[in-house]
Amino acid sequence: MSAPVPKAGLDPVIHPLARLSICGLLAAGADWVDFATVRESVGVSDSVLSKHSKALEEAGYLEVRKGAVGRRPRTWFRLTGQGRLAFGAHVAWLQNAAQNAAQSVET
Amino acid sequence: MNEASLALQEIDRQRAALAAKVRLPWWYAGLFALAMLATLAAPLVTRAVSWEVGSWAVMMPALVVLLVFDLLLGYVTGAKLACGTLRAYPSSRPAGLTLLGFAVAGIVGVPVLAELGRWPFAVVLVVVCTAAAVRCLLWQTAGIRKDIRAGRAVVS
Repeated sequence: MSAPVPKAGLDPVIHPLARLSICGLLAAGADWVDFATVRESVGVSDSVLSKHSKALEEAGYLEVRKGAVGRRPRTWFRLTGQGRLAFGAHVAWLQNAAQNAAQSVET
Repeated sequence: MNEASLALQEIDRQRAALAAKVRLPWWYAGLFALAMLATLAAPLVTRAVSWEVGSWAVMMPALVVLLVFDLLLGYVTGAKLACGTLRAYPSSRPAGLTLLGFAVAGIVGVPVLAELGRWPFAVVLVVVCTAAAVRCLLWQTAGIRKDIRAGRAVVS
């Protein structure tokens, strides 16, 4: 069964700034990004990143792969196809909202 | 500034952060140059020394390095780039195709020149193709960075 295509518009799962930031990094052009890189780039603690990544994973937007380099565990993240669609729709909504806000300021 | 604009700014910031990660460390360019040099020079070694040395001691390790070090780069930078670079990062295509062109020119041209007994020309071709391929690699990386920063990367 194929994943449902999300409607264009505000996505409540992605909307909180930390999650938007995580998705922004993962959708920027890499296939997989590791936990430490996401944590540093988003500027959150390990526990906060774990909480947000769990929420994104439960929504079906995030894929998590756990591996190890030698004895050190390493966790990798990437957006799923559904996650990329939802993020694209959310960004389109943000662009419309920003445009509308700019127009209302002008008038 | 409204909330939506701030959110869009944050997305741009993350694109710039990922683009900044896509920089080749010195060892990557060095290993690539060595592997390219060895691959292109293998036909000369085969003729000058022996087939076994040219194939197993020079060409095979070089091919293994070329295949494996992309994985290493992902582990070092913390970001694994999309497979199919030319498709995923449109701005990297001219550099990637030029690199391919130099590689093919070297792979085809060096054995032909060696067969004709033009060894100095063959050696020059190896060096020129290697230097040009390294330059193209750096150019290709700049294209990848440009696409990531502009939000043009196509990852599926």
